[in-house]
Amino acid sequence: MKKIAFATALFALISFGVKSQNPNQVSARLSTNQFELGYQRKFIQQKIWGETYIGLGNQDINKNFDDVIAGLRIGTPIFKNEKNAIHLAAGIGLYFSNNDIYSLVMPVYSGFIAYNRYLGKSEKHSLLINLGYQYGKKDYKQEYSSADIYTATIGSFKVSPVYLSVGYGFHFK
Amino acid sequence: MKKYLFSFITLACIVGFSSCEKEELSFTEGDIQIEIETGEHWLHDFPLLLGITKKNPPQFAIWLEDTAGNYISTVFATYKIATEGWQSNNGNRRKEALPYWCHQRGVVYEDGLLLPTKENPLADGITGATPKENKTLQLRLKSFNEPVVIKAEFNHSIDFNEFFPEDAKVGDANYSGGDMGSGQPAIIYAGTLNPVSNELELQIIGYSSPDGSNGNINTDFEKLTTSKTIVGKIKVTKK
Repeated sequence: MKKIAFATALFALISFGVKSQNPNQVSARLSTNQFELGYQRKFIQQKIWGETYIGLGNQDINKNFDDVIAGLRIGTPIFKNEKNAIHLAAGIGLYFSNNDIYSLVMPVYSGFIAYNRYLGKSEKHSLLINLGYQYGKKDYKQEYSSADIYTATIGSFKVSPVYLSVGYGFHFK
Repeated sequence: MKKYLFSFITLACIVGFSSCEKEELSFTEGDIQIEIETGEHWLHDFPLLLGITKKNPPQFAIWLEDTAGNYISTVFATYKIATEGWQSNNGNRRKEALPYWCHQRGVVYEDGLLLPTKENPLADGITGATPKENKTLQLRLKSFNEPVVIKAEFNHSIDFNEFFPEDAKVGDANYSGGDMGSGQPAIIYAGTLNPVSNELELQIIGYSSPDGSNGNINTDFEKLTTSKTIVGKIKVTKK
């Protein structure tokens, strides 16, 4: 609980002096490794937002867009003017692999900068660019047995450390 | 929102803590440990687009034969070769990837090639992601009264050199699959483990057919450059 209070205070401090904005938003983001839909709302106080997201990833062994990703992010604006906003954000999520070789659920931690470019006069639509670092790694054991041999080995699944996505956001009241 | 947040963080923490449990191989007496140590050229630059490259590890297979050269079983093969899991290969089955293993194994698929297909891949338990670091395999032979030959074949795509150039034409002795082909051919290691011996290091015995058209072993090593250092060492230890 102390950590959450500390993080909230830190975010509030970072956003001190930055003009408040409407953080409520639904979004769609695409990167080379994942596609996600997000729902973002004001969280705890006006300048801190929370976002929940769900999507598909392709980082496991078969490289198909059939893995499920889901998670939460919190962030705060560190800069804002009429057309642009930059946010600092952190996230925690889960990665559910989907392939024939291994099955695992892996936590993924991330920290990133989120850039919003507002489109039009109403600040209802925005271009979203996220860039940051993410970490998720998990080992798994493989075994095989036949009439001739038994064999086993340890494999390792790791998500790409670079998180870069481009997307669209729709702001609502 | 707060309840949801709390539930999710709790779940993530549980998964996070459980993911810290380290997976380990547990060897028993008589088990064989095969350790593949990566070499200087284990990772090779593969072009993506606009000059951006990706560090790719090699495709490889490890298998067993008897001393007469009869194939016994595959111990491990990398995902792409074992499942036809190539990305953007436009139907190219990459028969030049690991041709010696394919010919020794001798399984002919629907299209007449010796490569596993998406429809009929190798067994899941012996198919794995290509490691970017050292790899250890545990092997237990159901019967180990006779010497067994452990063989391994490794190959990088597009590791061209002056002897195996990108512009070699189909039919040339050094043709290796064209501009996205093999470059230097697959390199082959082997060693014989006796029931009474405890340690062994596999040695390079040659390289495969550059275009994958046969299962011959070539030994003019002066034509190989970086492919000789894909692997650092392959050590076999009987527990």
